[in-house]
Amino acid sequence: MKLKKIGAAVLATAVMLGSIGIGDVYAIEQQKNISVYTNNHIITPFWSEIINILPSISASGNAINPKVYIEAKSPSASIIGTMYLEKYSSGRWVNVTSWSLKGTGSLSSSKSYSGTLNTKYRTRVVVTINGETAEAVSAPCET
Amino acid sequence: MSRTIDIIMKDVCELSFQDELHKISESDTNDIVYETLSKEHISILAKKIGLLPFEYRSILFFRYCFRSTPYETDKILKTENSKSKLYYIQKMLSNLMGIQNSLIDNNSMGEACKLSLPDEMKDYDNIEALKKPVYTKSFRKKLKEFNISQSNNNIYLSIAKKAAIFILIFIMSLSTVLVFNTEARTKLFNWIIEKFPKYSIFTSQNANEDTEQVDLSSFKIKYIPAGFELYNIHEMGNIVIYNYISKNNYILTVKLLIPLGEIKSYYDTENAVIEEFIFKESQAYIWQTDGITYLLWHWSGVDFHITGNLNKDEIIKIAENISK
Repeated sequence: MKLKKIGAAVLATAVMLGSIGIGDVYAIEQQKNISVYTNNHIITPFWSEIINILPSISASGNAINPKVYIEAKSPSASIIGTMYLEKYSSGRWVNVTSWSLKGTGSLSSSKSYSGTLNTKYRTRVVVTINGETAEAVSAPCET
Repeated sequence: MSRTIDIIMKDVCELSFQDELHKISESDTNDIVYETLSKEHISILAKKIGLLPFEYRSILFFRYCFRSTPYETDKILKTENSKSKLYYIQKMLSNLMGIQNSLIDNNSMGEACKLSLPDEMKDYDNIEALKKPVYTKSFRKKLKEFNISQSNNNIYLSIAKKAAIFILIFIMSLSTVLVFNTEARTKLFNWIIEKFPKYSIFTSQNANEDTEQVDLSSFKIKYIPAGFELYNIHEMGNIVIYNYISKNNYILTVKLLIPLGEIKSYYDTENAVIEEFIFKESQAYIWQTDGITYLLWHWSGVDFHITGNLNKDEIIKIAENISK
């Protein structure tokens, strides 16, 4: 009987979700861009020059390894930017250190940093490709 | 319907079904004649469906309302032989409707199921499990995955089916019945997509697999379209990226990523329709924008991303020709 109820709950919920409509139920699309505050200007990226930004971070003990891969739509596009290592402290993300990025068409960067145990870190990247600026943040990683 | 009647119906149907199985196996399904019912008869059929045992009603609803194949139904509901049971139910209902030498056609069955399903729901308005559902963080995150359009024409039913699978797995996990049914979850829930107007963030959720043994160098890209040449390789431990370029500056990039943690990939998806499909037994996404085709999927412990100035067929051909 329990299985019956569970199954019926599944069907009922599925139909209920379906009857409301895809647009209503799953309308979780975030209607904003990530804006970048730099040099007293708010820059909203258009992604007309960028194919992919791939920030990531991994940790082994207190050794932290922030990485990023950036790819432009044009193989001759100029890419400049900064990769930031941030840690979570007192309820907010604060900058720990940063590295400059520069390349053409695509670039990758992988760095090492000796961090503090039991601390959350993340990689943040601010990049400009042919004058178009965008920001990307990795998932957090705990040492 | 009282529980007693339900139990009796279940037992009777079980006995009858076993007898009918032999006849089904011997019959030639090509000779079946189907009959379309009138609206009045469809309404009657819907009421008869409501009298069927729970398992049979579920099989019908999964087939005709959620468009699940019998194979999928068996996996989701943990039933057996849904295909034969479906035929048996169809034949039984046809007999109950006074049709002796033919079967009710699928359209009539579908309409009757859709009429019957809301009635099914009425009995369960007071289910405690639905009163105050407590969703886990990971479940809420996984719901985001539905914010994707599908290439399937019948998107409504497809989404409803997935919702059913979702909730089934979630609720079952509370009762520890289906908590270890990771196969269904692996196929459906291994990416989270956050959509923004200009781009989307794809987060791989495949880190639970045993990735220790994965060697990215063991994967070979055996097909690259004519005219493209490898000009750069980015190696970053658990990530290897191959950049190709053609003489007319068309680009092609193949990424191989071992998902040791959550990897977030920001991709241009402006004005793009992200299509979802099953590729190499995993959930895959493909879309096109600004002359570039994008394909993401997971296979053998590795996330694969292909982007390039190529059409979908070529991108998929490259993907199909990655082996180890």
